[in-house]
Amino acid sequence: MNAVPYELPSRKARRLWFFISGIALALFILMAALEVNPLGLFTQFHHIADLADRMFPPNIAVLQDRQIWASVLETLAVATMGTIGGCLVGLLAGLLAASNTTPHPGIRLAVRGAMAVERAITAIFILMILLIALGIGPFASAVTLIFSTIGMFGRLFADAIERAEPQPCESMAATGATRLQIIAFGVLPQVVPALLGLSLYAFEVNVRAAIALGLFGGGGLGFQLHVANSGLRYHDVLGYAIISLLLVSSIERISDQARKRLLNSPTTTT
Amino acid sequence: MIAGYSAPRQFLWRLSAIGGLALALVWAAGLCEFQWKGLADSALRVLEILRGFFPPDWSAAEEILPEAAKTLLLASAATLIGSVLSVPIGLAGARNIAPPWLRLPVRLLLGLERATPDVLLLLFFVVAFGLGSFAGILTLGLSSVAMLGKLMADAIEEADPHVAESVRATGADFSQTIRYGVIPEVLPALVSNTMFRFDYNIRSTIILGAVGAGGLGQEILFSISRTNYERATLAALATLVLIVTAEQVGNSLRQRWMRDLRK
Repeated sequence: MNAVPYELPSRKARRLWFFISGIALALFILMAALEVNPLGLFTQFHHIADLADRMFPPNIAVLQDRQIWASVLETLAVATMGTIGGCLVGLLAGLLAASNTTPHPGIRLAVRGAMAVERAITAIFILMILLIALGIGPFASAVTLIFSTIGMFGRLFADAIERAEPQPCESMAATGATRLQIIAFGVLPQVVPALLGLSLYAFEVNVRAAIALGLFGGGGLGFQLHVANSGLRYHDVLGYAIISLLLVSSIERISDQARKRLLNSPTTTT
Repeated sequence: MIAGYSAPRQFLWRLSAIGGLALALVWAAGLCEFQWKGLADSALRVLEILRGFFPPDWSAAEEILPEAAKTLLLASAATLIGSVLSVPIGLAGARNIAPPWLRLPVRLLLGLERATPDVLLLLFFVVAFGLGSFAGILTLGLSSVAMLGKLMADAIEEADPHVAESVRATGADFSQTIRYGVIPEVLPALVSNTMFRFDYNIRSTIILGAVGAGGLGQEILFSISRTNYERATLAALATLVLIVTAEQVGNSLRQRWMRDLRK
């Protein structure tokens, strides 16, 4: 038997306290560097009460406003555009970036590198450039989302494609199938459920992002929120906030359900 | 044969799925005012505008460095807060630990927070507390707590119950059972979730910064609205360095800690 190095309980406890005080110290230093007083949450709590006072009750009348439903649809359209466009290009990029489908390892590295760079460029910067070039509105938002979807989900697609079992492809190769045939009938059928599941997730992410980008001039619900907020119409702000919360959570629920059915349905897994 | 499988049904299913997607695309493109015809012109215009963004204005480095530091600090503080608070909240939200009167409200609040987009939360906090780090830290901290707390609760529910049972069998009381039977089981999940969240928080801080939390996001927004494009490029480069470094450091830390924890 190997002797397991045994630590004295007192020493273990000392190490635990050392760890805990280290975290506390780190938090203290971070707060000091940011000039944030965490106690402000309690001493200045009246600000939150104030805000609640100004916002309540939410303006229910916004629900009857045609404009707001148009902007909800606009937000959904931006997210749809970003998801479908981004996932289609992302699938192509993913195929180029997966080790088992790429035409050349060099291409794989180049595409993966490009996607990593895209992920590291903040969406705000991309959106701002597109707003200048294309004008304020949902178009710039949609293109921004297409880019960010390619960067993030193209990589996830590539990882999913790399997880495909090699055996079916090998047996296809043995029958004389070409490379494209192997990809289309050997690799893709294995990974389609994973790719569709990821795409549904992309849609969830993009609905949230579409609201956020709207605040900066990307149109839709976010823009309405921004306008109401800068006009100090706080009852409206709360009304819009409730709408966006309902939108986000219902999209999440629908996509959850769809994902579950997708993974159980025999027609898609074959 | 797989039960329920039939080739014509599969074909119809695929056809309708592709048709539905195409319809959705056409509808969405219409609503987004997608300029298919002018797409090439638009691309040219983007390239032309991009020319104005180069070269980056290196002389602004002195002013941008503190903003980058602020973004990093904000993300770290929020991650630390989220990570520390996720343990008690995870315990309070786990089916096998907490009674329903505690677990259900905790789970409900966590779900509500996660459904709220971060920018919305920040908008509220900025109205309440003004622009700056405080509103930023509140928003990011809350959203980190909500996500890490939920993941923690799930991890605790999935943890091997035999470990806690055998600790209890030695005569340990409730807090000892948690300390020695539950926490060590979920520590690897906590570490890896925390590193994931740190990465997420860096990106998120930049977007939130533009809404009013300060840091690099604000720098980019302000530089561009003052048509100081070269300066914005430098700030964007700083975000690039920050995100890539955070990813690399996070990955290597995670690997090292996970190895230590498995021992």
